[in-house]
Amino acid sequence: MDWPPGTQERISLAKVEAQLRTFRVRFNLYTAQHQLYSIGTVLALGVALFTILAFSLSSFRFTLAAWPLLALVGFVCFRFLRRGITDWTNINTAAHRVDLQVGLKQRLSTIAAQITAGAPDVLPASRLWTYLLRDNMDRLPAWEVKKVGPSRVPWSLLPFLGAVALAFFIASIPLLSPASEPMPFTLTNLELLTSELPERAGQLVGERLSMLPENPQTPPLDPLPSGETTTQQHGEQDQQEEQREQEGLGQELLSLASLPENIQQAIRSALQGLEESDEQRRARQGDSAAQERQALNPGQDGDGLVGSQDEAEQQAAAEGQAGRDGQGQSAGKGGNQGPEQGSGIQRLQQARLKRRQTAGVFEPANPQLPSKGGQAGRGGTGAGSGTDRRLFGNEKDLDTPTPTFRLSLDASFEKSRTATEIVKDEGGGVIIKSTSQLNQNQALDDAIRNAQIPPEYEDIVKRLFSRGEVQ
Amino acid sequence: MSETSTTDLVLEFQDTFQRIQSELAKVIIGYEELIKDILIAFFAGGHVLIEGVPGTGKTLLVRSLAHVLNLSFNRIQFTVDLMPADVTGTRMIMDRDDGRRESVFAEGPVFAHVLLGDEINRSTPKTQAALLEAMAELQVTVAGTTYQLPPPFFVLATLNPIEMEGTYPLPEAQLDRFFFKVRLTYPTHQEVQSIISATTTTDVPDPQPVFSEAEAADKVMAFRHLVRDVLVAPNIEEYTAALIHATLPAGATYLNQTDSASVTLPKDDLVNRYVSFGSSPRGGQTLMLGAKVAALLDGRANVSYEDIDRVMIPALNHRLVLNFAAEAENIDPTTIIERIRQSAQQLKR
Repeated sequence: MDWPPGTQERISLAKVEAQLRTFRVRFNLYTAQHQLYSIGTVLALGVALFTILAFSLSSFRFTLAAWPLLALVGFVCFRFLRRGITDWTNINTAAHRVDLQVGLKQRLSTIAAQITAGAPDVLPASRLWTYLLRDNMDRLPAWEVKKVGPSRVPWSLLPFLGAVALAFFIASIPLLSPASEPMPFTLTNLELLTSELPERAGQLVGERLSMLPENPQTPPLDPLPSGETTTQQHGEQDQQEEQREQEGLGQELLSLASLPENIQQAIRSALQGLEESDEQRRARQGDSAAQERQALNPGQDGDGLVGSQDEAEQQAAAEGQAGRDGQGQSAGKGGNQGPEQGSGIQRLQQARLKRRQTAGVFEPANPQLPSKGGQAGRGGTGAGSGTDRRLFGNEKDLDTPTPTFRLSLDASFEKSRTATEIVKDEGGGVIIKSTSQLNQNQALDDAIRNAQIPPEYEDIVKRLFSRGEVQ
Repeated sequence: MSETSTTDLVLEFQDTFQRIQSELAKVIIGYEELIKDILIAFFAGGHVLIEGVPGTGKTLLVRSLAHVLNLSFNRIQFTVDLMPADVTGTRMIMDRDDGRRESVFAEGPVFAHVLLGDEINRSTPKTQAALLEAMAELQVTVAGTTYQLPPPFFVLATLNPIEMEGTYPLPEAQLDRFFFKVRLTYPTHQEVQSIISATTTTDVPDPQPVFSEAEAADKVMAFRHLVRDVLVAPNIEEYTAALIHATLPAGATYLNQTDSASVTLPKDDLVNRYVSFGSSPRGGQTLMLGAKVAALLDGRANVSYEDIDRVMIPALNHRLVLNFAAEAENIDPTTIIERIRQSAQQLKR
């Protein structure tokens, strides 16, 4: 059939084809959105469920529940994805849908098949081809896209939004909970974190450097095989490589097996700041018990100048453990005690735990005052040592590393005296002197004793401590 | 052909079909759907097997059809002693005017546009086969000479379902050559009353031909060509093929086990239990051609699912060979076809 361009038949055919393609685009857009929203709904519900399980189940039970849940979510998402792929329409399928929807009795399917096959240019067109085209032209208004096409936004958006809202709501419960304190991200902690950052960085560099081989001439990597390398050496190298590969495979399997636990940790840490795992808590408790014992015998610490990082962390841990008795915390202890040694993150955890356990409310503005509502801060023998910023030198010089000394004070152990006394020191600060359970108080002060203090303040600190101890 | 001419041709086809129906309705009371099926087969180029008890108007129907179409008509009463030559014709020694004799082919009754084979199952298979060559090839071979039949050629054979003693049931291969098989049921009470009142008076209605004698054959052939021009979408072809395959039992002999069609129907239990042999591909051709006629009658230039469904039972019911269990349990091929049609609805989505 000869249809020159611009003829009425060509124009009619172009109209039908254009409307059909518009419908197809709209339908595919709808299908893609629908499947995406459906997948998003499933994922959001899965996240919400994971969040609930992460906070309500133990690590073991969470692991048991996580795999089926992960499999279910993955399966449903796969089904939706496959449905989206299978529902993706070409022009023939779109015509078939319109036919069924409007009741065109395959008029549109037939002409779409003809168009796809190249009619009227390629195929020897039937005599009824023109009749079919006219028939379709007459029915164009019956299936306008705005009438029969799917809506621009699928209904599955509403479940998706609901699921996302639910997920955010569930996630916000631990965030808003008073038990959770996103410590690392508060302004109060920011100063503490930034103040110790250079020091911490220096320690990390030191750790890495200490891990390097002592002999600088020894190449850090495997040396190239020399001409004298024997077959046995080759064999050993091969064995080592195989072992490393096996270890790598084992590590991968281990990481896969620990996936649910990692998910639980990630959820907890994301929503509750830095939640301790059971193992971490047990380890910390063990360390703190050891430090407690160590605090009772401070002489065993030695009087070295700057302690190692491990020592500082243990001390910080011991400090946290010491405050666990649920009684009032020292007024002088808190966020403004000055730079401490050890991991800042661990200290933040411990500070948070201490504050949870403390009956009173700590006032950062005046840290030396007794906490409100609690018992008078005990263990304040070292109180005030961290309150004065000048204690550490001029503030502008704090960022630069300065030589420090380590305080070596042997406090007397007096457990029979229970009186508590609050006096003012020379600088107007408050010194809380308590003789009750002095061993614990001393343990609390270990961090201050071992704090890195500029040498210029050695005399002042020693004088303050000696006065407090003596009194 | 221009758009106007094709549109006119379609309209003319519809009009002719309607006129034939209305003319036949003058002499045939009731049976509207049956007449429509016969006309569909006629314009599709097929032949029809009519099964019905005596006295239901089979012969009258065929005779009236030929009269309305204004085509030549012959009738053969099949009996046991009917010979093939009685159907096809034979060579005879004829005396010429000059006194010489010559062998002349005397055309049999098969040489007509419309042929009524009455009670075809009463003749021997040899005679039946003589008719079947004419039906399939539109030609007959006598004494080594082939003679073409005049188009259009349309055979209407009747089967008497009673008095089966001394009959020769048509073999499956011969049944397959009939386009449709329709059943003449007893007319309803009102129809019988109308038949009695219309045929027992002096004022017997006389149907009028819709074509002139000169143009009848050409018109019919033009309509048959028009039917073949109806367009078909690929999904309709898939649907038709799936229907044909659905009639094959799962354990059928000669079933191609490597068939991996994308559009299929699950094998129905009814088919597996009661069908020995399903429809041949010729059944699919029948479905499609009949559907094309139905589409034209509906004023469409394309085939729809409804058209296929419309002609499914008359096109397939004589192509399903049922087993003894089906006969024992009085299972009809129509029941099985209906089941297949219902299960095929899922393919339309």
